[in-house]
Amino acid sequence: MPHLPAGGPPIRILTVGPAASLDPDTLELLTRSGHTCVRLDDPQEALDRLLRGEADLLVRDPADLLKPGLGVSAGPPHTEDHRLAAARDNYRTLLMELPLLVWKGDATGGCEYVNQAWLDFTGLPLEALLGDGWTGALHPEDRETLQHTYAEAFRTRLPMGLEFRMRHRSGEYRWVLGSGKPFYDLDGQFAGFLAACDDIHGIRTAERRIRRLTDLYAALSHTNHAIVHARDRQRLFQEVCRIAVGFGKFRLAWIGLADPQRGGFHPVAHAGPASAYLDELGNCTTASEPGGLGLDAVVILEGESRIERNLPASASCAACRASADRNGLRAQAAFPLRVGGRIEGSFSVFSDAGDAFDQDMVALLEEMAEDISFALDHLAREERRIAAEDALAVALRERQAMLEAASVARVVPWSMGPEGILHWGDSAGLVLGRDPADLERMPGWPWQLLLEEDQPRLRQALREADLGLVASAECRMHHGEGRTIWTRWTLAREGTRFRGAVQDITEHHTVQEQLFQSQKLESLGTLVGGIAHDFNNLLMAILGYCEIFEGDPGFSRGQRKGLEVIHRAAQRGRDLVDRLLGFSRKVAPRRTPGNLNTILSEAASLLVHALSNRIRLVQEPSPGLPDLSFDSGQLHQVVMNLAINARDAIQGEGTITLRSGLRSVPAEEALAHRRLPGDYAYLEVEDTGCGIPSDRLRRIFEPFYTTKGAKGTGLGLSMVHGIVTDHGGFVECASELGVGTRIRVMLPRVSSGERTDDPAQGGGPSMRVLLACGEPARARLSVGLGQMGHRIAPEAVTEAASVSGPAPWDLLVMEPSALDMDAGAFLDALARRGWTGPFVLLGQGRPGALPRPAAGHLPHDFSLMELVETLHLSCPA
Amino acid sequence: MSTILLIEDDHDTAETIQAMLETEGHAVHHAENGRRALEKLDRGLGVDLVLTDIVMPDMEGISTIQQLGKVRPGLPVVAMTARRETPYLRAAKAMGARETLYKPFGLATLRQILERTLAPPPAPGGAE
Repeated sequence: MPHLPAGGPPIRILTVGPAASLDPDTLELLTRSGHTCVRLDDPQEALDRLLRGEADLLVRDPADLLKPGLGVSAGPPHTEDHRLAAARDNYRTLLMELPLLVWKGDATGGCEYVNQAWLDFTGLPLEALLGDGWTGALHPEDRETLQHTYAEAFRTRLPMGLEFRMRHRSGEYRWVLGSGKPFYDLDGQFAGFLAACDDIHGIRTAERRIRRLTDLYAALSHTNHAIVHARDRQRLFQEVCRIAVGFGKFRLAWIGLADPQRGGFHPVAHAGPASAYLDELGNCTTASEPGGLGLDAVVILEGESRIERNLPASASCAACRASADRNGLRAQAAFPLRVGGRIEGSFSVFSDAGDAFDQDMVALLEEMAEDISFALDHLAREERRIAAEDALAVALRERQAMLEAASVARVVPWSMGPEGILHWGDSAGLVLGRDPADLERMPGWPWQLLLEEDQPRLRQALREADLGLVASAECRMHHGEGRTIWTRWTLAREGTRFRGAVQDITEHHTVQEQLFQSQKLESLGTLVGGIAHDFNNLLMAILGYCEIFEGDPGFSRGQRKGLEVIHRAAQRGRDLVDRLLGFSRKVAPRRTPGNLNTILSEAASLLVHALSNRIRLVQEPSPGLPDLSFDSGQLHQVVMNLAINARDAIQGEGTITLRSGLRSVPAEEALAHRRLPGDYAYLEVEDTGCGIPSDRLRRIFEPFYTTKGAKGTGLGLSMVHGIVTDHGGFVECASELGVGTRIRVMLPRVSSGERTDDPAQGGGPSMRVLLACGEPARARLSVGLGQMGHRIAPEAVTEAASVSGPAPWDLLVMEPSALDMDAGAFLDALARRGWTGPFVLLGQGRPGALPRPAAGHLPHDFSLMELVETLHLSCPA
Repeated sequence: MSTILLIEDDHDTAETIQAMLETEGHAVHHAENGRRALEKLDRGLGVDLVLTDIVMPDMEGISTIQQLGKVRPGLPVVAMTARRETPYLRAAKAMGARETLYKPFGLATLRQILERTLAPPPAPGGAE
C-alpha cells in the first residue's frame, strides 16, 4: 500500500469506489498538504488517467489515505526514500493486479516486464517472454504487422494501437487490442514503451461470426435466386458452387452425384481456389475401403449432414486427409442432396478455418442444400412434365395423322369387348356421319344402321370371324346425313373381343359399277354392231328383191300385196338396226363448229309442242359458252330424247330445265372413271319427275332397257350414250326418287379448229399422228394415214421426248423394238410434256412395263383395213 | 347401160344387188373378193364402174380400192358397207371411192348413186 510523503512534492490523487465518499475533513487535510484529490466513479477511467500520467496515486480504500506518508495520517511522516519505495511497490502491485494485460519494453525495445494478467493469458513464465520472447506467442499471420507497427512507433515515439492474435494458454489464438505509448522516466528520458492489451477475442469472434453468417445469408439468397432461374441441373450445380465460393467465402465447394452402378460418386461441379483437392482425390467411392470413407461418401451412404472441423486429423479416408492438408483445407461440411426423397449426391464446402461451421452456419448451409434438393425435385418434375408434354404432342400429332389418314381412306376402326358395347374411332364422325358417343349408346351390333337386305352379309362375316378368320363384308349403311353408303366391314376375333374397321367404299363401288356398266355397254355395242352388219346384209337381199319384184308385172295383186308387207317389215327392220347402230356408235358424227346454247334453244322450240301445259320448260343457257365441234343433228336428238324421257317422268305438274355449262374433269376423277381429264361443256336436262331407283339408274343406257314399260323402246338413252361417246364425251346421271332426275351430257372442249371434219372427205376428223417407229413402217403408215386424210407429225422420236412445249398429237403409233429408249420411258417423257393421248403399238415385240394400256395393236404387216380398224378403235371420236 | 364390176363376198347379197343392177339395165360382172376382181381386170375386162363391198375376207375393200386406183386410174368406184363406221367410209373415200352406199339400199338410191357416178364430170363429195 502506498504511503504519501508528508511535506514532499504535491501528489495528484485519484479516488475511486469507497474513496469517493472521502470525508471532508480528510479532503481538507490533503488539500492543505498541497496534494490534489480527484474523485472518479469509473475505476477504468481512473486507471487510464493514472497510466497516462495525469495522476500520481490511485486510492481504492479511503483507509489507505490514513496510512502513514500522506500527511493525512495521524502518525509521524515517513522518510523520502521510504515513501518512494512505497510508491513503487504500490505501482507494481497495481500493474500486477491490473485486469489488463500490461507490457513494458525497455529503451532498446525488448520486453522487460509483463504483468500477471499477461502471464496468466499466455501461460508462459516471465523469462520466456522477456526480450523478443513475447513475440513467440503472436499469431504467425499477425506477427510481422505487429513487429512493424511497434518498430515504427518506437522510432517515432508516438502512441500505437493494433488488434492482433496471441496464443492463449489453451492453445487457441485470441484477439487482443493493444495500445502502447512511449514511457519517460522521472528525468524525462525515454525509457521504452508501455503497452496494455485488452482481450477482445469475444468481440472479434462475434464480429467474425456475424460476417460469416452474413456471407452465408448472401450465399443462400443467391442460391435461391439461381434456383428460381435454373433451367437444368448441371448449370444449377455449377452456379451453386460458384455462389458458395464467391459469397460464402469457402475455399472449395463441390457437388458429387452418386453413381449406384459403379458404387461410387463423381464430381459434377466445383468452384474455389482449392479445386486441386478434387483432382488429387481421384476416384471417389462409397464402398468401404481400408483407408476409410470420405465425408461425402458417408453423407451419401447415411443421408445425414456431416461436419469435420479438423480434416487433416480426421478419421476420413487417407487420400482426403492428405489432399486437404496439401490444399490448406481445415474443415469440411457435407450435406446430402435428395431427389424425390432419394439420396442423389452431396454438396460439400471447405474452409481453412476450424471454426467455420458453428451451429448457425451449418443450419444455413443445410438450408442451402435443402433448397438445392428442392430445385432438383422441381427440375425433375419439370423434365417429366416437358417429356410428358412432348409425348402428348407426339401422341396428338399421331392421332391427328391417324384421323387424317382415316378421313382420306374413309376408315373408322372399332372394337367390341365382352360387355357388348361397340367402341368406335373418332373418324366415325367423318365416315359414318355419326358421333362415336351416340353410336356407343346402341347396344350390340348396329343392325339398325345396316340395310336389311345386307345384314346377312355381316352376320356371315361374324360367323367367319368366330371361326378365327379375318372376315369381310360389303354392306350398305345409313349415313348420319341421311344418304346410303357402301361400306366394307373387316373384322377379326381375339378371344372375347372383336376388332375391325369400317371403310366407306361408296365411291369405289360407284366407280366399279360405272366401269362395269361402261364395259357392259361397250361389249353390247360390239355385239350389236356385228349383228347389225349381218342384219343389214340380210335386209339387203329382202329389200332388194322386194323392189325388183314390186316392179315385175308377172306378180298377181295378192302377191304384190304380200311383197309390200315384206318390204315394210324389212324397212322397219332397217330402222331398228339404224337405231341400234346409233347406240353402238356405228353412225359417224358430222362435226361442224357450233354452240350448245343454240342446240338448247332449238330443242326448246320443238319441245314446247310436245309438252302439256302442266309442264313448265325452263332454259338456263350458260352465258359465254365457247363454240364446240359437234354433229348438231345428233345432239338435237340427244336433247330431244332426254327431254321426252323427262316429260314421261313427270306425272301431273312439273318443270323441265334445259341447262348448259362448263365443268373441268380433274386428273384423279378422270383416272378413277377412265375418262379424259380437261375442260368440258355440258348440256343438262333436269326434271321434277318421279326419279329413278338407283338399281335401275345404272342400267338406263342398256339397249332395250326401259322404265316406261310397254311404252318405251329402250333405245332412246342407248342412242344418247352412243352419240355422246362418239363425240368423246360421257353422260352423268343423278336421280332421287320423288324429287327428279338430272342427266348431264359432257362434251370435251376441243377447239373447233383442231378436229372438225373435212366435209370434202365425208366425215370423220383429221388427226395429227405422231409416229415412233422404224423406217419401213413409218413409210407405209405415212402413206396409209395420209391417204385417209390424217397428218403426220414432223417430230422425230428424240425430239418429241425431249423438247418442251405443246404436244398437239391425237394419236401415237409406237414400235417399241425400233425405239432408242424404253417405251414406258418414252410415254413418261411425253406425259411430262402434258401428252397422255391414245397410242397404238406396232409389231409383236413386248414393250415392257407401260404406264397405261395401249389403245390398239397393229401387226407389222398390217393391211389398210387393219389400220382403219385400229384407228377407229383407238380414236373413236 | 353400163358394165359394172360388183365385188361382194356374201352370195345372197351379191345376187340381190346384181339383180337390182340388171333391173336397171346394167351388165354385171361379179367377183367375190378384191383379188378376184383385180384378176378379171388384169385379164382385160372392160368396166365402166366398180361397186365394191368394204368388209370382205381375202382382200378387203380399202386395199381393193387402192389397187384399183393403180391399175385403172379414173375408173369410178362406189364403196358399199353394211357397217357405218366413219373410218371405213373415210378410208374408202381417201383411197378414191367416189360414192358410198349403206346396205340395205333400195333401187331409187342405187339409181341415183349410179347416175351421179357415171355422169361426166363426177359430182363432188356427199354420200347417199
